[in-house]
Amino acid sequence: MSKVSYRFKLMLILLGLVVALQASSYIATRVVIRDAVVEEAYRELERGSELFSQLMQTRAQQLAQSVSVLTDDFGFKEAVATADRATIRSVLVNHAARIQADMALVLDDNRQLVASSMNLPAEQYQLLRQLEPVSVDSGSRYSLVVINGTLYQFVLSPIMAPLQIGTAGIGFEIDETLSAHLQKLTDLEVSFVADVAGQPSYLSGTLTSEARNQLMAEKPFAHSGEQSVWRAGDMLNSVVVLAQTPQLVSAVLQVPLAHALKPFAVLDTQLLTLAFSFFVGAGLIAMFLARSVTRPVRELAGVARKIADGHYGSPVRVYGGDEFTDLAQAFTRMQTAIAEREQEILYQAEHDSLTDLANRSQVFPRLHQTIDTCQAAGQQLVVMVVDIYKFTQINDTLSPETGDRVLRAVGGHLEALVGEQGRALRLGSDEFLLLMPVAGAAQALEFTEQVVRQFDRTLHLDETDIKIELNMGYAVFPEQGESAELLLRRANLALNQARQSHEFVCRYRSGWDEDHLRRLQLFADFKQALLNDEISLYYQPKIDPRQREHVGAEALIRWVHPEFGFVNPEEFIAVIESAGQISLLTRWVIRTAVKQVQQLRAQGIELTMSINLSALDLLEDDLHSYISKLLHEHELPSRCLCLEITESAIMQEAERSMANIQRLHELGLLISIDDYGTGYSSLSQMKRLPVTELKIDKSFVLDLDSNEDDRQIVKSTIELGHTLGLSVTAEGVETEQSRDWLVANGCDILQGYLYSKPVPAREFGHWLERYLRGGDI
Amino acid sequence: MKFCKQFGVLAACMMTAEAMALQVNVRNSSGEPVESAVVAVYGDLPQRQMETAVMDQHDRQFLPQVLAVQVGTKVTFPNSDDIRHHVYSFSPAKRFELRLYHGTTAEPVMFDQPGKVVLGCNIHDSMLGYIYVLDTPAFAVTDVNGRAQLDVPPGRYRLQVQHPRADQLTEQAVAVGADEPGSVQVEFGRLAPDPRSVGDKTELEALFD
Repeated sequence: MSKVSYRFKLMLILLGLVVALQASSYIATRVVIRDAVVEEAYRELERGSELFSQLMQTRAQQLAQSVSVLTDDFGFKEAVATADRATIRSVLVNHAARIQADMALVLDDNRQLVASSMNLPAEQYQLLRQLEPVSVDSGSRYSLVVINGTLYQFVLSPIMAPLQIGTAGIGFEIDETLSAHLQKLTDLEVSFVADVAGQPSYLSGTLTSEARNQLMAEKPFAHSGEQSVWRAGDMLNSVVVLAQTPQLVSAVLQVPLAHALKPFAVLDTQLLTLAFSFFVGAGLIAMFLARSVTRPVRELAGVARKIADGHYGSPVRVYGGDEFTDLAQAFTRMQTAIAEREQEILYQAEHDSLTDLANRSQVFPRLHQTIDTCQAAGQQLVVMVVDIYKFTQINDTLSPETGDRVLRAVGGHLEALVGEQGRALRLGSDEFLLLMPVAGAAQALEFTEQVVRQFDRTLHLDETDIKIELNMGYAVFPEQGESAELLLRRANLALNQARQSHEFVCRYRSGWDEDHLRRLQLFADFKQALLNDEISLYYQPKIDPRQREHVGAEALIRWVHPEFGFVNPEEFIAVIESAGQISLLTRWVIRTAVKQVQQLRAQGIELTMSINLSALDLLEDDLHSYISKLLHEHELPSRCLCLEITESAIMQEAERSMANIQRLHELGLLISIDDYGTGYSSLSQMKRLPVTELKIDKSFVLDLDSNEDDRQIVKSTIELGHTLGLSVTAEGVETEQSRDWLVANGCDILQGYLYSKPVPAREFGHWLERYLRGGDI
Repeated sequence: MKFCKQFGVLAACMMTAEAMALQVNVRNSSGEPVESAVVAVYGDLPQRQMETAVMDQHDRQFLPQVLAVQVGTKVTFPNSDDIRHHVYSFSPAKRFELRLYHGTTAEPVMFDQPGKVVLGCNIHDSMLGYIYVLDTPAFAVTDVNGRAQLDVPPGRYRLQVQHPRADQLTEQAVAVGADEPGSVQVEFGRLAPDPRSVGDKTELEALFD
């Protein structure tokens, strides 16, 4: 995690505080204690020095007493009085042993050696001469003397018998044992150093040889008298001057600072341990504190994430009665509120507000679900699409409110019909989807009949009673498809079939789907086909049997599909019409036809080109301006185009179609009624139309030779046309017999295979040349 | 020997009959009288009767502190104290030792060599006495006023003065007239302090001076 968590930061701050406090207090305490300990060590050393001095003094006193024991001894005095050196020496040895002295000697009044317990050369005792003489006045005299490299505590005492007859000297060696003893008593390192002939020398002491060298290098005499205690390196030192004459003899007392600091080291360790324990303790507390602060936050963050993921049931576990608990309660309330709101939104998203049925978005989920259920249960499923027949009329004629009421009522009934085991959804406007699991084909049929029965009566709405009829198309799972998409499409196809055939209830039949797919394919390929010249115009001549040079042609559309081959124009025009693309095709046809006309005119052939318009073309208000512009561009008179319109085309939105036809007519175009006789043309309308031609449907013409009825119809139609002042054209002329009959009965223009089938432009050109030259047809 | 001694005493008595008094005044350099100075006169002198001299010990002191005797004199050491004394001397003139005794139980000691005999008591260090053994019958010890009187016949003599606390002795010639008593003024050099008077300081206190 690159981000440092709040908890970690909080912990760091707390710990940092503790560490800073601990460190400062530890350092301060340590400094204070250390200073105190060092100070104390100085004082200890001073006290030790004093104690040392006292010990030395006491020892001197003891020695003096020992000496007085010797000098007071009558025998000793007697021996000395004899002045017999051998005797005196023997006495000295004896007495020295008695008082445990290391040396005993007698000096005469001139302080010349008389005798000594030690057998040393006389010059070794020379130093003694430098000592102050002792007398009864001075009493005993104490000094430290180095004799033969050994330091002695020397006590000189007069030998009184009863006047002074000499001086007795008793020496006690200061050896390691004494040093050790003193060390034990004073707790100090004891060293005896002397200035022997200007050369400092270490005489005795408790130091190691290394420490001795170090001490001697420091010249401890330098300090004598100036400062009683000083520090050198790791040692605290103190000098006690023991004797000035005949040599300078000092005791150097030392205490290693380490030794002095030993108790401190323990204390230091304890302090450190304490500090560490505090640190650890504080760390734990900080962790706990940080946790207690951040845990609710993380808990809430976790809950928030769950909420973000759409889980609203997570309990918010934050206790303590503090702000976090408030926040947690707010979270809980928020969760509930969000859950409720989401439920509501979801319901609204999935349901239709009007009928309260599931809406279009739920089609596939419910369909998949129901299919799965049926598959598991081995049941069949009726997938039925329902719409209300002429619902727009209800809306238009009554009111949108009534329409809504009708939808609600229908929805309610449908839902009741499917019951618990089925489902009813509203697909949009007046379309509903029913999903009804059934045991078998018989029950499927029964269900559809049930639906029909349900609506075969008047709906009692609030104020009005309405009778409605439903279109129903359905497909059955698994027989007619196993996938949701397929079933739904097929049910829709069945509904379309029901609508178109007015059967009201239609079950999907195999093949419909394939047709449907083919239509979809055609539609998908249409534009590309225009670009690829797969779609082209064929031309069929319209012949005036009485006047050869008066020739016309009908432009017919042809599509040779790379996959399907020749496609019936009726089929693909229906597809293109239903897709609302017909105007595109129409304009392409007009443009192509115009070009053809221009081309023929360039060859010197003038003819009238008939073009078929679909009903939808007539609803285009700008078609006339398009054609006008086109003719203008190609410098063609408007008379060279004839627009063929079917009766049924005019019937749809009659007023608007009529208006547009009027405009086209005003442009100077010829208008022809195509397929006359198949629709329900009203003569009154015909009369109002600016029509110049009437075209009898070929179904009447094809059997003209054999069918008397057809002949009657055609004959009366020709008469009617002529009565109205129209030119009458017959198409589907295939035999000479028919031609002759039609010519005999006054038909103006003939069109059919007898003359030519529809052919491509080039071929049509050749045909025209041949025909106009008077050649056979 | 007994006879001899008695003879000596007799001779002295004889001399006394015609002797004249010689007054000796001993003073130190600052003019103060010097007590316990031993004054002796050497010359042609009549023998004096030997008497037994007494060196008493009273109140833990030798009494007199300075005693002058002629060579060959016996000295008794009576003990007037109720404690025992152990009188001794290591002086070359006379070595002797009177082991712990009471009263007059000690034998008299014969001092037969001239010289200074320092007396001490082994068990009482403060006791100090001197016996000057002189090879002359005429001698005296100065009193508190530094005066000593010798009875000598008129004539010319050598006067010798010594003192326990002086290293040197003083000698001078004196003449004693027949008619009038002689008087000699002797000026003495510096005297050492009395060893017995330095007992105030203890030995231990003195140790670290």
